[in-house]
Amino acid sequence: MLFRRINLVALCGMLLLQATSVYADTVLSGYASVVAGRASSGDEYLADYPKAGVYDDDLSFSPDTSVGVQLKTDLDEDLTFVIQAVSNGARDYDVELDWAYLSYQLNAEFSIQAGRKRLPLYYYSDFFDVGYVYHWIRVPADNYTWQISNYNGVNLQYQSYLNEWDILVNLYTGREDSNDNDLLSLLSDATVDETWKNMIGLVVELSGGWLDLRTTYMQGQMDRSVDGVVVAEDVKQVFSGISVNFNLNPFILLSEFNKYERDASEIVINTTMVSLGYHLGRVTPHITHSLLKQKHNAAGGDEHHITNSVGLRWDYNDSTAFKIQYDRTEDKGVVIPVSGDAELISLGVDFVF
Amino acid sequence: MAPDISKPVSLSKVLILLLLWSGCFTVSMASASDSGVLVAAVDSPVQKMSIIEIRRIYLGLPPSEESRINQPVMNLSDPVLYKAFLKNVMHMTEMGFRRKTVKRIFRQGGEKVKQLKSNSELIEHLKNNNNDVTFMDSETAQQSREIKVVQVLW
Repeated sequence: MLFRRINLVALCGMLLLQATSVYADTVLSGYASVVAGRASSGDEYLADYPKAGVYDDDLSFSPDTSVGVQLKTDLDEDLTFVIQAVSNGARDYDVELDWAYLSYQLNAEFSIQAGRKRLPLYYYSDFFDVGYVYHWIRVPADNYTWQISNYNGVNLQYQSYLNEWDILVNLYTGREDSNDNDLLSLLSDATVDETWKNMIGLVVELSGGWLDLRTTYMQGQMDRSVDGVVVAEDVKQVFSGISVNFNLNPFILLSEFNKYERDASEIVINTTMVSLGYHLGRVTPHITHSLLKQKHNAAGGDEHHITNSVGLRWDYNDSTAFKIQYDRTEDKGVVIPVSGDAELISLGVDFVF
Repeated sequence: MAPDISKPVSLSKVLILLLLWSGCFTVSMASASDSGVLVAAVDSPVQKMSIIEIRRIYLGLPPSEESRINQPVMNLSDPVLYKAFLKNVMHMTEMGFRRKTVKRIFRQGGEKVKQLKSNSELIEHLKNNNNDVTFMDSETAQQSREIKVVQVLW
């Protein structure tokens, strides 16, 4: 926790020190999303599972507003240090380190990285908070329901091409300790500490002019304690998924299908997302259908929610996009309801610098 | 006889119209810039390479050692030329390229490709950075004695 949450003043000082000491080899980049929303029906709307960003019937800026700053420093020709600090409204604007790693370029194709990174389970996991790169206000919440977003570890990355296809292969291993986990503590109304350990994962991406394919697999173990009482230890868990995206200008069709399995407690969860967008010059209207469905098990697990969304993105200039979106979520869980049926209207602006 | 305007238009007809409409833009853009070339300083050691490798370095990936390239420079002197480059070399729309590069910056610690907005700035940059490359339309490239054509791009 100490590593993840650090003092804002210390961070600014560190960034400034880095920027001035080796200025010629240091690049500063950033992004921000300012989003306002309100649940137009239902008591509350859970918009961001990992950070427990919840809207109620009052207009709020907190659940989806975020800002991130990245500093990249070339320590020599092949060695790079990258740090990315993020502040989210859903976490009371505390500054956290999403990325802090050293990267060594072994040759034109291979690099090895060590440190803290985003856990690349889903297609949008790596750039979950960078709203500028997708057409929604937020990535479909039903799909992105995982409670662990980062890991500390090492990874080997291969980037090359085959004919007109870009290839990216990422093999990673690591662990994450999350004390008083945002999502689990919100849902269980208790203090939940969770550890994901011995994680080994593989991501393979193929990207052509009009088609993006991505497959992902991760297995590891989970420990959990509730109010200090250990309720799970060394529980095996497996995550797998596939994404297929078509960029058939002016149409864009995005899809993602994932599966999460935990054998010991017979938990099997499937998530699905399909989204269609249409580029009308700088305006992109879009519709999306997403769902999470848990297979019924002996414990009565029946989490099941479906969301339909419509929205509009307007690229105001090369670095700024305005968005408006309407989401309607149907919560079909009886034993495990999440936040009930709800509707949400939100609008916001994303920019990068 | 007046057409029956109360009859609903089928989804397939709407899709065909949208596709035809989008095709108009594609055709008009393709004819705007006829020939583009990769250029470097006249005494540059940069070697000819595949179009795929050029695409790769403009996406921010490291160049191969054989190419002897240090870094590519984006030519923003002419919006038509820029769009033709994105279409013929990057196989992307302007918006698609922008999003892909932003994604790479925050996902993989990448950097923006250097951008220059005039031919004089580009030529001056290439003179001072022997291993850098940029793209130009072939007529402009042939007018300067300080740069050489490394290869034809489209």
